[in-house]
This record gives sequence, C-alpha cells and structure tokens, in this order.
Amino acid sequence: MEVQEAIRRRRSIRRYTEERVTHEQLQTILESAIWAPSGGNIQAWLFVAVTDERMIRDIKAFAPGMFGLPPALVVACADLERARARGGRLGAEVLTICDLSMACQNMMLVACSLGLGSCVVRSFNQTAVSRLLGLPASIRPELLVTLGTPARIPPAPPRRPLEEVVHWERFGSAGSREGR
Amino acid sequence: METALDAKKARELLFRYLCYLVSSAAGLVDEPALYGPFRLVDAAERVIDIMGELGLGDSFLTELRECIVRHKEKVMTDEQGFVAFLDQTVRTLADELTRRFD
Repeated sequence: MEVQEAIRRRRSIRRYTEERVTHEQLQTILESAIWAPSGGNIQAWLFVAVTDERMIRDIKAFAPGMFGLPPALVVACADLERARARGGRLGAEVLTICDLSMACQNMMLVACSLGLGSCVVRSFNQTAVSRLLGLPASIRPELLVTLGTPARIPPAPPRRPLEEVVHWERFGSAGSREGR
Repeated sequence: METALDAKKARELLFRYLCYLVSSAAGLVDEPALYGPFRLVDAAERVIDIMGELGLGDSFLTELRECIVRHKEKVMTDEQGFVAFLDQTVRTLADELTRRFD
C-alpha cells in the first residue's frame, strides 16, 4: 500500500473483532516505530506490547478514551532518564513527546497497510497504567495505540480545508498560492 | 436467585466501572469541556452493558444503548447534534421513568 493511501485510509477504530493480531504483525508494527524521526536522535522511547486479554481489560478500566476491547495494544512510553540525560529539559518535556507521536503515527500507518485498524489514546490514567505494567518511575506511559481487525470503519471525519490552514511563504496569505 | 458466581461477576464488573469513573474524573480536570458530557453518556452505555451482563437488561435499555452508540461520537463532528441527542435522551428517560415506576 502506498503511503498516501495509508494516510487517507487510516481511521480511528473504536470497535474490533476478536481476531488476534499475530506476533509477526506486531513485530512489523513495532519495527516501524523505531524508525520514526527522533530529536537529536535521542530515541528516549520504550514500547510495551500487550496481547494478554486480562491486562488489556485492566488497562481499559483506567483508560476512558479506549473503546471496545482491542486484541492488542502498544503502550508508548517516554524514557525520562535518557531524555533528560541526552536532551535536557527540552528533550524530556517536548522532544520525547514529539518523537513518540511520530512513532505512533508510523505504527498506525503500517497497521493500516497490514489491513489492521488502530486508535491512538491519550485519555488514560498514567499512574494506574504504570502500576499495572510495573513500569519504573523513569518510564512514563504517554500514548496507547490499540490494534486489531476493525469491526466497524467509521466515515472520515471532516478536515479543515487546506486553504484555511496553509499560508504560503508568510502568515496572512492563507489560500491558494496562485490566489496571492 | 443470585448465585455466588453472579455476585463475583457483579463485583468485578462494578469494580471495573468504578475504576473507569474515577479515572474519568481525574482525566477531566485537564481535558476539553465537552469530554465531560461525553464521558457521562459513555458511562451510561457501560451501565447498560453491566445491567445486560447481570441479566437486568430489557428492550428499552437495548434500544437506548444503540441510540447512544449511534450518537455519542457526534461530540467530535457535530456538537449541536450531540447536545440535541442528550436533551432528547433525557426526555425519553423521564417518560420511561414515569412509565416504569410511578
């Protein structure tokens, strides 16, 4: 699948079938995460792949933004110690979040190319999820990516038009390039 | 008649629901305002699910759940439609409450 097609086709999936995600699929998806750009190449990230139904149910209990019961999920975490040591305050507070976001997007696009659905979730309790997963204090869960076979693919939500959000060359020139 | 298994199941379902409610409360401190009503209506759907699992469901609740599923995601695309759905659901529930228990 072409990248552009995956970008257009990806939807936030909130209902999954019971079909499991294979280990090979998860490996492929996780491999794509570590090839995301990383500010200063710090790579202060860590991923916990979860396929155990009991653990997924437990995480869901503390994740109001997670819907349905996905057969797999990846908990994308910031390695704060590494981020601070190599990236300072900017690394810990900004770059790592940017890096993780790009890693999650990679995973979702690759999942889409494999025929899987995904949804990125930030509405979860970080303390509870840390405790459930046994994460040390220096590893903070930032995003969840649910994965599975979609039971329902929602229609594409509206997007703000390009003309409204793109300015060419400098601010104040929103609209088509030719229209300036 | 309630069995020990039913009671165990009910305790787990309700405990998980409790976790959801408190996590929602903690998260809503920093989340967008509209997430509040969304979480509450999502909680309503979860209550219906629990009632169903405990053998307390009925056709009204099934229909209500379907309605919630159909409309709750409007919160992201159609705010007015989402609010109208909430208002209509309250009216429906008021009528049903009267019909059931008065």
